[in-house]
Amino acid sequence: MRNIYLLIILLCLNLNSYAGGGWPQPKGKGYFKLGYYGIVSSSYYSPNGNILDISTAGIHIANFYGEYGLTKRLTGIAYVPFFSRATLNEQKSASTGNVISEGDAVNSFGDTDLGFKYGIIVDKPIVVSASITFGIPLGNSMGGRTEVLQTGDGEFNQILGIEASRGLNKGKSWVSTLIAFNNRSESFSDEFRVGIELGTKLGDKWLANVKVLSVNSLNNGNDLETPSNGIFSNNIEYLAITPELAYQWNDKWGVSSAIGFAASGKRVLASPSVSFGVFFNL
Amino acid sequence: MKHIKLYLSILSMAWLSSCIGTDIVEDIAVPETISINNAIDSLKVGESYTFSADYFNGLGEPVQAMITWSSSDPSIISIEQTGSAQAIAAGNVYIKAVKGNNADSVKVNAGNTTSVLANKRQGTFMGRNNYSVSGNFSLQEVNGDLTLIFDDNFRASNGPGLYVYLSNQPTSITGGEEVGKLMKNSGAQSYSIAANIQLTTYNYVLIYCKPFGVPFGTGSYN
Repeated sequence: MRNIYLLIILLCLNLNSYAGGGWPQPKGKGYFKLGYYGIVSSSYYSPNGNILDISTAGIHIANFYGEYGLTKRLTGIAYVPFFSRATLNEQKSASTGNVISEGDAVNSFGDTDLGFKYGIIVDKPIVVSASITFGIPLGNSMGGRTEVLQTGDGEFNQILGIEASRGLNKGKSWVSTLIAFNNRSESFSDEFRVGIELGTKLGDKWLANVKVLSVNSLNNGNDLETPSNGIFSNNIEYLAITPELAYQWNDKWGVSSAIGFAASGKRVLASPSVSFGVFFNL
Repeated sequence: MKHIKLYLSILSMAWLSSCIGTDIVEDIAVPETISINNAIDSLKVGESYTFSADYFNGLGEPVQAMITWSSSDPSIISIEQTGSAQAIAAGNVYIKAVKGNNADSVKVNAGNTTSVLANKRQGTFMGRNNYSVSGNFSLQEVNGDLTLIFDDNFRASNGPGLYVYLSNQPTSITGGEEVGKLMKNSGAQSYSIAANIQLTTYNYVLIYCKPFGVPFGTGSYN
C-alpha cells in the first residue's frame, strides 16, 4: 500500500508541474512557463452583477511563471508580467462618423507576484501546503492619455493560502483545493478566495484540467479613497471557470492553452480570457 | 531554442489583436425639441426684450434653425421674427417659438416691471447602472454667467474617467455639453458653464464615465 501511495505522489508531482496545488517542487526541480494572457471585451459586470455594454477594452500580458524547489518542502514562486498592454477602442458615431472619444493604450511592466509555498504535509495521499504571495505593484494604475488604463492595481497585495491536493485514479488524475486571503493595502477591500481544480492525464502526452476560482471582496475598503481610478481595482468579485489543455512532447517541454469564463462577476470584464504558454520542466 | 521561437510566433499572432480598434456607436434617437432659453415672466410696458430659443435635432444636438415667433395678442406684446418683443399695453400673452411641428411658449405679463422668469434651477442626482450617485445640485445664473453647483451632500461611486455633462438625454451625452472632469467624488464643488449655454438649454446633468461610455448617474431638475 505504501508503494502505491508513493507512486501516486510521484505521478502527482509530475502532474503538479501543470496544476500547482498542494505539492511543492522537489528540491532542485522546477517548472517554468512563458505565457500569454489576453482578454478583449465590450461587456462589463456592473457592481451588482448585471452586464453593461462598454467601450471595448483589452488587456494583453506576456508573462513568465516559475516554481523552483529550494528545499524538499519550500518552493519559490514568481509571476512576472514583463510586458503588459491595455487598450481602449475609439468611439465613433454611427450616424455622423464623428469621433465621440479617442482610443487609448498603455504599455508597461505589470504587477509582479513573488512568493513561497511550504509543504506542511508532503508524503501522504493528501498533501497540504501553505503559501504566501506578495503582489508587488510594478504596473501602471493610471496609464494612457485618459489615465484610466491599468496594467496593475497600484497596491501591495499579501496573499496567504492553503492548498490541499490528492491524486486519483492511480495517479492519472488529481484534485486540488485552495483557500486564500488577500490582504490589500491603500484602502482596497480584502479578498477571500476559494478554488478547486480537477485534472487528468489523457494518454501519454495530453493533460486536461478545469479550475474553478471564486474571488469575493470583504467590502471593507473605502471606494472613495482608493488611489486607482480604474474599473479593475476595488471590490472585484468573480466566479471563473477555466478549462485548460496541455500537450507535453517530451519530459521537459510542453505547451498549454486555456480559456477562462467568468460565470458571474462584479466590476470585471464579462468576456472569456485566453491564455497559452510554452513550459519547461527542470 | 525552437520552443522559445514557437512561443514568440504565437505571441506575435496574439499581439495582432492588441491594436486599438474602433467601436461604432449607434446614436439614440430623441424627439426634436425647441426651448426658449431666456424666458421672462413680465415686461414693462414701453420696453422691448429679445427672446431666443435653442433647437435640438433628433440626436439631441443643438443646431441653427429658423425660428418662427408669435404672440397670442400682438396688441399687448408684439414680436418680430428676430425674437424682439415690445410691450404695448398691460395684459397677459403667450410668446411662442415654433420650428416645424415643435413649439415652446412662455406666459408674459406686460405691466410695470421687467423680470426674468428664473435665474436658478435645482435638481437631484440618482444613480444608474448600479452605481451610486446622489445629492442635490443647482444651475445658477449670476450676471449672465452660468455656474453648476453640487451641494455638500453630493456622492458618486468611484470610477474611471468620470466627467460632468449637460445633456437633453438622461442616459446619453450625444448632443450634450462636456462641463469638465468630475473634481471629486463627494462634497461641494462648482463648475463654470460655457457662455453659449443658457439656463434652460439642457435638462439633465450627467455623471458619465467618458472612456468606457457608461452613465453613472443623472441629475434631473425638480
